[in-house]
Amino acid sequence: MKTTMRCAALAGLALAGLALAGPASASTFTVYDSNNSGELITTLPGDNNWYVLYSVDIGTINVGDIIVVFADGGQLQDPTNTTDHYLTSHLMRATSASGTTGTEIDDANAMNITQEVYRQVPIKPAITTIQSGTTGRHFVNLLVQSASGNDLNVNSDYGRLQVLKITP
Amino acid sequence: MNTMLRNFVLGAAFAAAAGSASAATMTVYETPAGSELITSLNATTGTFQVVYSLNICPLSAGDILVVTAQSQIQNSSTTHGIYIAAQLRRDSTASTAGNALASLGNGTNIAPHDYRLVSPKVSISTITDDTDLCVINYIARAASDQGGTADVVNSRGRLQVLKITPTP
Repeated sequence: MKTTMRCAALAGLALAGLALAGPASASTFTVYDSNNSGELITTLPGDNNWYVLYSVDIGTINVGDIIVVFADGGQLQDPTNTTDHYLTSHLMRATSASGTTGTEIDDANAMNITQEVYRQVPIKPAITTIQSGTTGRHFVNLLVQSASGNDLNVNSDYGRLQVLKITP
Repeated sequence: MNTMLRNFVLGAAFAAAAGSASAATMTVYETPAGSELITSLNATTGTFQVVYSLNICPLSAGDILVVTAQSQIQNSSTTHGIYIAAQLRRDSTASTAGNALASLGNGTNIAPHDYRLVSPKVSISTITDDTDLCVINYIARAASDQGGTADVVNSRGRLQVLKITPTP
């Protein structure tokens, strides 16, 4: 009996050791998607102001969360094929779906849409770790800006904003 | 209860708890260099064609797919522009059908003097159904009023997939 109990105790301690050595908890993965026809504007004014093209609500976040963002930024095109455009895009973490300020997720960068090219698709990928600013509800927004003086048309159902939130 | 016996019970309980929190599995799939399935796109028909294909079977509901792809496509004409569109889809074979992984096939134009274009595509999605559609396809099409073809350049692109199976 004593031998049996000793073996049981050793087995129990070994299992406890395994439990402590193993993962304390699993990572969680959550996908957010702007879905079909998620464009929030139909035209982009050429007034050099930022506009939100796509937005996804990622809810609450914690320091240490990892955010993977892919923006397949729709199709923006000149309605008359007579103007050259300068199109800038930017990923931003904001506190609302209309927010154009907040925490940068990437850098703003730009492309030209010449009359010959006529249409463009801004692709924006980003991976970031949340460092601070976790209070409240959070949105990832794809911002666009044109400085041409003329509007660009935003085609409906031609792009997406998708986010993977990993809580390690 | 005997102290040793209590240790065994506690150890077994800890081990059971650790077992239920198993880690997610993550697998990367990639087309190797030179895996373009076609050498040109038909701009007369303007139909989608499979450029890259990747088998990531098996798939389960709840799996998360992070997909990136890029290709280099060149206008075989220097006298007229050509429209290039690309898309990511999921099917049971290498095909242009199946379920769209992200946006519709948005695109841009290659102006005659621009000559070549890289069409990156990105997608994050959660599998909810149709788990038999476990072949990921990067498809593209060319279109021009003047007809002709667009060249798909060998060994100038990839299709890459990260499959995450979260903790059950």
